[in-house]
Amino acid sequence: MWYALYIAAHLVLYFAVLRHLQAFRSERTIFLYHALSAIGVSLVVIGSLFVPGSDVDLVWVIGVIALHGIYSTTFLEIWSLAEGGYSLQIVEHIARANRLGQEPDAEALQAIGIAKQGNRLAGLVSIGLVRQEAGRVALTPLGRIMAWCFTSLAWLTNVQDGV
Amino acid sequence: MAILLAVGYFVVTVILHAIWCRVSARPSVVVKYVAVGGLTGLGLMAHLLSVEGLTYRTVSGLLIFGLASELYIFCFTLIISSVSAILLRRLYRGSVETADLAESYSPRWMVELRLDRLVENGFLVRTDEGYQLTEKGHNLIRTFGKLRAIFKHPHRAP
Repeated sequence: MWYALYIAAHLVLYFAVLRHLQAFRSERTIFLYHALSAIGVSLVVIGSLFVPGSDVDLVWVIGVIALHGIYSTTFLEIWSLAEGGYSLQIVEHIARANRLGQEPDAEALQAIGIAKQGNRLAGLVSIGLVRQEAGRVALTPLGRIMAWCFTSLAWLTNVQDGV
Repeated sequence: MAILLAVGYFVVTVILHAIWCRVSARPSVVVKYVAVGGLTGLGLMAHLLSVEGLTYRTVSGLLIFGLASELYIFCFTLIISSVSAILLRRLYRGSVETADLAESYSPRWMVELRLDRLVENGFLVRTDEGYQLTEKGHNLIRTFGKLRAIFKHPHRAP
């Protein structure tokens, strides 16, 4: 019960105060706001397992962590979606063109793709999933594990997008 | 017991979802999971209530199932839409020349892939003059406009 109230307070604090702050408009700050809270709650509930005389058990501990997990994952997904992905930018671009009675500018749409592709490859290199050597791109051992997970998931859900 | 039941029902959901994904292309993978997960979730609730009664153990079991489902949906939507995930899956088949990668996954291809999905999902229609937004597409923009305002994201030029 106390943990449900804590999560409600965490949400209210964001909407009442924090969202108005410039710092909380960055992905990093929002992520830290949730990650630190989730780590803190997890440590406290796991610690309560070892308090002498405590009547909590593993099911309760995992339930509390799952509650925070659902809250944070849902919040971060909605926050990130609201920021607008590639598809939303395409829809907005076409809406603008429709309104002005013009053809959508294919080059402008592709420019978004060029920026995204460059950023993603550089991002994958910087987090150690991909390496670039002598004009070739290859997976690192960590990247291979991650790619295997994605490939397995694509197999499970029968996702075929021409990759 | 509650944890084992939650994990067991989640595994069953993933298997049923995988079968449905192979049987038909429609509806979308997310809708399929919500349908299958909704039914198995109800089954889990009934099972937990019969075993544990209305206790924190039942609630915990449902929360574990809910979190696992949410993470699973997050992961498979990521592999569909994320450029990074698409690049990783391609590289899993072997290394490629940087220039070939840029050519194969050209911005034109990425735009066309998304346009196809937006048409499939009813946000756009193809016409002789190009693409037109549907009512669903207009609603999407309105909804995201409101969400952007709620989260104080920078406003994009209309």
